[in-house]
Amino acid sequence: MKSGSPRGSIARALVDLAAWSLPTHRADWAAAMRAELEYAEDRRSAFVWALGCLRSGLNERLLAWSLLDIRAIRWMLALWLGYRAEDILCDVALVLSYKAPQLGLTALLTHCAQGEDYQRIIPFLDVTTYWTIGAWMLVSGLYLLVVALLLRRAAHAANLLILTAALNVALWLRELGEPLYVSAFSPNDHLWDALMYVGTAFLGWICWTNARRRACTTL
Amino acid sequence: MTRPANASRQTRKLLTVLAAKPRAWRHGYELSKETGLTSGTLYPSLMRLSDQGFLESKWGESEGTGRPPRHLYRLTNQGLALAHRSDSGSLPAPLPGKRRELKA
Repeated sequence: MKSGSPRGSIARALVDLAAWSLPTHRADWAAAMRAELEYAEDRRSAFVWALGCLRSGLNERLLAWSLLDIRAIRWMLALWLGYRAEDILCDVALVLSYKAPQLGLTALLTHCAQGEDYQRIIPFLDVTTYWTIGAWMLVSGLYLLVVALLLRRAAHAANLLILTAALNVALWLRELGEPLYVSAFSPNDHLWDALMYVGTAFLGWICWTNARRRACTTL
Repeated sequence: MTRPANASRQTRKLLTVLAAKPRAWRHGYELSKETGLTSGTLYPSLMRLSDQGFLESKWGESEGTGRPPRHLYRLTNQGLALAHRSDSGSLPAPLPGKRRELKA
């Protein structure tokens, strides 16, 4: 590869990043990746080669870490999932306080809808079925179960997390198909929800792939 | 109980290419071109083969002014046996969605 070209520099920077990502016991492989780059036939091949090296480096780094064995990560994830469970339960309480006032959840409604004008969501509350409420309660319960499994360092915490997060995203997507739901909230509210659901699913996916790969050192 | 040996399709391809010239030392770029595997697939496979004693490696000579020496690879005897098993079909493919450790 010719030196000095912008794409050549990018390729070298990518391979440097790959080398940095690799665990220390893979130092020889990092040097091999760097050396091989210099024999690439053209800038495009060098760039593609470098991208692949970066993928290898990041994969190896993820394999070297057992994310859920790191106490700080475990606790932060547990706190986040606890927050998600509480958030969903608040929504459930909000709906139930409207649909089933005999349950005496008005106090919860005041707590959950503090400072918000919930009159605009009443049409949506009217069409929300008990089936949907049950599904959200299930998701919340599953999140709490994942928290318990995480704190007990149970092997299946990551599996249950990815399942719960996927169910959560599926329920949210289903609600997005309901025009009354879309119109009940502002675009900012929807954007925030998207970040919550997709972000949690992404965290779940990282933990799940990490746990899965570590369990299977393979060819 | 010994688990059955298995390997991914990509690793089988790599084993076949390495076994075609068993005594020759091969470098990564050449292997990538011959197997059609990108470096993102090739290096993890090479690392696993090496970790499990199926591949040996060494540093070669520089192939030109200003160019660094290359890392070279070839199969060990154990790796050759594995490649033959892979070619003969006696090496089962990984279970869908579940990869297991390969044992010779």
